Amino acid sequence: MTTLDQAPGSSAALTARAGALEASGWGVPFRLVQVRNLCFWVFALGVAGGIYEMLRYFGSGVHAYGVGLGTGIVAFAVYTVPWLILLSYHNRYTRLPGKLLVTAVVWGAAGAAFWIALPANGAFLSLYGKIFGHGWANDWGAGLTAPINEEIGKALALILLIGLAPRLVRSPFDGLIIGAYAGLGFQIIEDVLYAYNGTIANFGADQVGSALNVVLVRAPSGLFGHVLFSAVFCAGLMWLLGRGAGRHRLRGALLMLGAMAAHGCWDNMGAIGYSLAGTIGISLLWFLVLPIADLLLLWLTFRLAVPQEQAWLRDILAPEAESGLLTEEEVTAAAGGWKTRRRFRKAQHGHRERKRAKHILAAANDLAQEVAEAGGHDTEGVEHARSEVRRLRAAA
Amino acid sequence: MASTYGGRHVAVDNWVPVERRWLGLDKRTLLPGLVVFAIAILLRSIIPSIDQATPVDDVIEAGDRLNLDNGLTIAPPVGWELVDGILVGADTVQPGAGSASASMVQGGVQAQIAVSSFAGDAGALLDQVNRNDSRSDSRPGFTVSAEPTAITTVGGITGAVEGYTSAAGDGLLAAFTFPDGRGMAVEVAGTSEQLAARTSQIDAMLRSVTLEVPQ
Repeated sequence: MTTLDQAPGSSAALTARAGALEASGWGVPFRLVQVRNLCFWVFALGVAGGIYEMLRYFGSGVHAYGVGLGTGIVAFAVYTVPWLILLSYHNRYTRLPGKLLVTAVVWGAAGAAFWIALPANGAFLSLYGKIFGHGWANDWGAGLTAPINEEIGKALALILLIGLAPRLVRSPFDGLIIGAYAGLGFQIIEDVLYAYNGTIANFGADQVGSALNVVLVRAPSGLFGHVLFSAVFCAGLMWLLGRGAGRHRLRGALLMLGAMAAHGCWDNMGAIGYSLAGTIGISLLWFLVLPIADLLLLWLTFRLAVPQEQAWLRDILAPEAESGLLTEEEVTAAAGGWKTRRRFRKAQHGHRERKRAKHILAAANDLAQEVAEAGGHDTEGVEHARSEVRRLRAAA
Repeated sequence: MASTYGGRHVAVDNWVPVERRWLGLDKRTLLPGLVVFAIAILLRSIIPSIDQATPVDDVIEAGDRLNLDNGLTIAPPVGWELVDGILVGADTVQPGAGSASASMVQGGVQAQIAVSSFAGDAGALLDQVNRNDSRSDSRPGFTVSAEPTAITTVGGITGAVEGYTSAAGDGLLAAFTFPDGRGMAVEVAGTSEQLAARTSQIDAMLRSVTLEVPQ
């Protein structure tokens, strides 16, 4: 990269930009393989152990139940695509690099699911049965097992990534995004495991039907599942660890408990719903109460986490407004949520203007990305991104 | 990336200075790495060890019946330890709720019961289970050793039962199907001596299957 000259804008704006880049870590490259980093070795151990367990688990039955397993893998691989699009859309503002997110997904699938949760869940359920009886364990065991082993297991991805990329993983919003990706890895592999187990439970007869039944149940319920729980849990963990603006440790602890409670309620839906209102209570929880409560929890976490990211992005783009390349309104919209962006587009007169406004906002985000990657300096990439904004503005 | 200022070396981002190393590792990464390792070992190794050290004290008594849901019950052998499954009359949130699976052990012998919907008769279910087991790596060399024979339970249900041998141990498979569209597979696994010593108990269990339509 070639450094051209100092960026435009007042020294105050440039200082604020440098501060935002430093605080967010945006633009810092992510390296997984760090031989002097203990977190890398723990990650490698957990993933290798998880893959070994995974191969052992599926391997013994693949000849007998391979059709059901294959159906589950294909169906849930397809199911993953819209998830990736959705999560990628939310990985904005001071975007986390793809390699880091893949690391989170791999930990969620191999380390959290197979290395930790599978043996731990079995042990917890067995202990509950021995201590409290099988009836009690059947009613309450799952909801008092999974939120502990699985939420903690997935959140270890965040701790490892803090150790691997301390400059990159800085805000509760980073925690939310990393948690969501770790949760996605966990959820998809767990769904495949359920398809496999469902095939076995149905005696291996009609394997495609058995696996697709699992897909039908798990795909919609997954919308309020692991991705959501760990997004909330990991954002909370960032506040608890003090890795955000201000001190909000209590908020962090409450959000983590909220995510665990939400997870527990899903797993104990039958017992809770029946206790409250009989069989109708189960349906109410399943289709109404829990989806709404969980989405509210996620919405609250998002609302609390996003302002810091948006402020960083505004600071990074502010010198461009001072130099006249962007307007204040464009900076606000480019650094805002989808409602702010939509309001900005709607304020333009005419279809062509609205379309152009949309393009300029996207170009402003490209510019911010280039500035971040250049560490706040002016480079050819940054200058090209600026020229794109000028080109779009000129194309009236 | 190396940064230079006036040609003078300043820093390399991924360089760990010698005074920050311990056994070659960056000291700053020890805390997060050890925290993750300790939590993982606690959950995946220590908790299972505690479970294994905790004895099963749910011993099946005379008169106990397993509730396999929707009126299907079976009397497990007296004196065996119940590992999984719900007994009739157990204290559950939904009164009378059962479980579609159960397992019990005694002296190295393990019995597993699985119930699910199945289209076909008991012979077809037994064939299906044979197909699965002959392909499964957990029973290498699976061979049906005793041809299927019919078995009629005290509840008037006809099933099929057979013996098998494998490199991982011998066993006995039984299959029943019911008018409500469900099937039940029972597998009892152990060494041939262990199984021979419990023949009457296993036979009594298989003959105890009943299906009553819930009132």
